[in-house]
Amino acid sequence: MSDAALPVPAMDRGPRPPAHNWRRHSGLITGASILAVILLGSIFAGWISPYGPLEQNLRNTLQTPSWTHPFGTDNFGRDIFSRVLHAAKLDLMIGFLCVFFPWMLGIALGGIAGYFGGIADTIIMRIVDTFSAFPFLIMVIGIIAILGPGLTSLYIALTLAGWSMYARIVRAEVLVVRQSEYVLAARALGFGHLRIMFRHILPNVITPTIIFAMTDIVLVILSTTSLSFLGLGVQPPAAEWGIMISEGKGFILTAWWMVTLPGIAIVIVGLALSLFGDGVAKWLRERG
Amino acid sequence: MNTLTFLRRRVLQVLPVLAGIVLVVFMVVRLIPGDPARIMLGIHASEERLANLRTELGLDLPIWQQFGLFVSNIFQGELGTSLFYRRDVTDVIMERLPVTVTLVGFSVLLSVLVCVPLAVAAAMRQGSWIDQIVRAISTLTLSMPGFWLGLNLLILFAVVYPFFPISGFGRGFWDILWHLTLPAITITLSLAPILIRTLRASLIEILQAPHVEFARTKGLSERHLIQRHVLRNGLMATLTILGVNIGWLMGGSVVIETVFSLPGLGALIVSSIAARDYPMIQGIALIFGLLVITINLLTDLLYAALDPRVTYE
Repeated sequence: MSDAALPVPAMDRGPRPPAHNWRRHSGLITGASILAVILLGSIFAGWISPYGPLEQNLRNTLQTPSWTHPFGTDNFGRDIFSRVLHAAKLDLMIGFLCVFFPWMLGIALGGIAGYFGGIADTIIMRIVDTFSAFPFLIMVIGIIAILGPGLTSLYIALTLAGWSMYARIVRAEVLVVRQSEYVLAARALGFGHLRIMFRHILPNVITPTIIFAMTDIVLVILSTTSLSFLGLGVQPPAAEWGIMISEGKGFILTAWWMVTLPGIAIVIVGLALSLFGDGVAKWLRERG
Repeated sequence: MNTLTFLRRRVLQVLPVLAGIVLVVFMVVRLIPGDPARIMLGIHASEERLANLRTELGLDLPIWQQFGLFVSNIFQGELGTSLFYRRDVTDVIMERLPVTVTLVGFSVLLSVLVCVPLAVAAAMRQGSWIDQIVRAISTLTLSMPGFWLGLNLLILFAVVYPFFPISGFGRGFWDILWHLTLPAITITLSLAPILIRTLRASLIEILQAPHVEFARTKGLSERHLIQRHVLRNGLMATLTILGVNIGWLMGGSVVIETVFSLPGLGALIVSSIAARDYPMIQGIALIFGLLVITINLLTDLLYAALDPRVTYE
């Protein structure tokens, strides 16, 4: 407000005060803090909660939430709070890797399509069209149908179904950058294709893919839990949020906590990742 | 370019994608690691049954002949025999298709009824409390997995307060509507953030357009302004957003049908994977792919028909 009222010459401004930065990146900081707390909680789950994630106690089944079992127990007497904590590691790792692999694949193929053009471009982009014509979840389910349900299939399926969007983004960016003066200069200097691609083009096209990856990771984690819920992803008895909710589905008449509480973990992680992702996107855009 | 040329080109664009989908669906069985017949029938199947299945699926022919047979069968509406139901895949799909279509249709209707007014209100009063609330709720529901939301609605409105049935599809119009209410609300809540955000953004753009500015200067009331100038354009935007997200909706129906035990195609593809019923999986994947392509095409055509000003390149 005061800036607008009293214009200060640009030279006198100096660096922004840190307090100002804090407030502008509050979303980033809040999101990162929540994620850090959850990750630490998951890593040190053994110290926080005395029960193992797979530890059954058949004399103590379907207990309502209490001080000894904050989230209650399930039909095998397993402590739900422990399972929710332990599951965070697995779900976050799947979320990260299943964005990282498609990101790599998409950048490689989109980069080749955009840089070389011609027949490579035509072939790659037609494949991209076909892959994006299928609904994401149906595509993933189809690939899992071929490979059989399981963790490895889940990684492969989410990678194969997710790369095409990254390829589109990178190709479009490369098409622009390819014509820029510094790339023409590099080419005039006689640099090889690999050097130009990695040293000159890649650093300049990567930002939009990271911004997209930040929203993608929420979608991937939601898809992972959905697939595990359907019995197509991570397999029981592993502690995973989708599996826990699916096991609770048979007990909705008597034990609501089996369904409701593990899902709250998903919502919190989703919100934290959204805040974090928006923050990173904002920060990247401001850097230019 | 005129509309007719655009239409012809748009329809032609569909063909390679269509071919791609048929190829991918064809590959489903051929990519199974090991002997597909053995995987489908289980380790205890007799040699005779295995040989019969290989012949039935054409697995003993050279691969290009298999593909030719597959394509010609599709054109005759012949998708093979389900290994689990021991009936024509086409017949089973046709029985189940209405459930999925009704669910998606009802959800889309409900989403439009809920989201359009909210998006209009949020766009008209940017930064107001209603804008803030709409944004907060849509951020929240964006992080909620549909299956969890659905199960919680079941616990609340079918178990604790038994207003709605726990599962099933029902018979007759009102009964079906009653059974589909909770599933449709679940899908609406998941779709709402996407719909409201995109619609709000495009409405804000429209509100700043010169013709709206002019109408406002002319002294038209806000209500008149919305009805005459904003909503018409806003509805076109809604249509586009829905068309783009139809694939996402189909995927969502897989999960929601399983949660509410609805006898639709989505629940069927999940149970077919467990039963290793590959002809059924292929059939459903093909139908889903075709539905998405068709609906995207229809959206584009409708758009062209509704808005004669749009020029195509």
